[in-house]
Amino acid sequence: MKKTKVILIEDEEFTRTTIRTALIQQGLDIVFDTDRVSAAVEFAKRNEIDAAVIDYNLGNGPTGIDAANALRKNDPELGIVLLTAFLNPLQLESKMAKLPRGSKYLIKHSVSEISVLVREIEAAISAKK
Amino acid sequence: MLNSKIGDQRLKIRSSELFQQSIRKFEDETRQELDRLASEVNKQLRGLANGKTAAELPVANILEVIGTKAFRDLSISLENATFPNPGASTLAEEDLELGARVINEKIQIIGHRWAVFIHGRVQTRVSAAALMIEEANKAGDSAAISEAIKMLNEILNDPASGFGSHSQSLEDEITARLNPWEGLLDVELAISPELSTQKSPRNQDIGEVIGEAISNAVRHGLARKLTLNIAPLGENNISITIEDDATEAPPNENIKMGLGTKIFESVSDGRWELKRSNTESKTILTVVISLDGTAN
Repeated sequence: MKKTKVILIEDEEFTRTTIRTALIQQGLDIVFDTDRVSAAVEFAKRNEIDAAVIDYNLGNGPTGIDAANALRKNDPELGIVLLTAFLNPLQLESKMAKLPRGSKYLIKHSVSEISVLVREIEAAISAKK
Repeated sequence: MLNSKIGDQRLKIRSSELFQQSIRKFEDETRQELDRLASEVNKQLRGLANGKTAAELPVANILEVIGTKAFRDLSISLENATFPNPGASTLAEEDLELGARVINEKIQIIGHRWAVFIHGRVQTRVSAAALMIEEANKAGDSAAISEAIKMLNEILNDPASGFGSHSQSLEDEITARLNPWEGLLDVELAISPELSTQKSPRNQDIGEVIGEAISNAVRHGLARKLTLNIAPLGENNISITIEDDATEAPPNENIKMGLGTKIFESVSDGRWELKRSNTESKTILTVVISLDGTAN
């Protein structure tokens, strides 16, 4: 069975490693992980991927939503899951850009069961098919 | 908006003892609250761990107790921080109203810095450590559990570590702001050589202005190209000019002042201006920043 190909954008290294390891254990193929939006966009242009898991807060520079929009522009079929530690990202930024259509939005503490994240990835991919 | 009289008045307030004390008090209280939460969480973690092996730790409880909630709530409250009216103070009566506004703007900017830090560094790592423990438990991987506990201890013993450490040159500060946008936006940077190596306490403020201007240009103006010019202006000021090819005009001034506007207003002491070209698809932001005063 073909594994789901996922890229992961998370600026915090420990968190990125943890999520990557957990998703691999769940049978997903993490084809690329990075802390840089530009690297993810470049990778997505050259490779076939099914979904992107993106942290909302990527430090100074683009937010996860900027990354989601840049990736979706490149691939309209891409499933997108945005991770945030906030209940509502509007609390983090008042003038936030809109998430691409069909994107899923997941609060980090609800990822304690990694299967929740896997389900959201599958739902995000289905929403775009 | 490039009004030097208001700029002088705001600069006087920013240099006042009242302003400095207010900012210090807010910073100290925030740091203390973060330490208190981390210490409380650490205590509960030890309580949970008491008499159990790491593999037996109830992860759901760790997440709920330690997690994310306490730090998330603190971040949210910092995003909405305000400071009481200074009341009786060392400011002249005619400066009181503006003084309260200037202090509040700065409190909101610093509150946002803390909120982003707590969210991005503390809360995120705590969540990841909990996830790691859970997955390691399932896999029976005791080394991974120990690593996660070690990470939790590091974070909780010194949760503010790394906040506010800022001593890079202006060029490095700007490069750090521009690099993450690589591939999404073409930027042409011109910075006067005498400014590029300076390590002013205001560099972080300047970086925030540039970061905010870029976000606005990309998110709301749909810009793809931007030129950034930084040059000295008189003896103690610098001028930042940012010109972009935004296809969408910036919102008008009647819209409620967002964090970005507060940053421009506060950092420039009110001396900034946003213009839309009548003839071209172009927006020009000019911000004048005094190198006098402190980082705040």
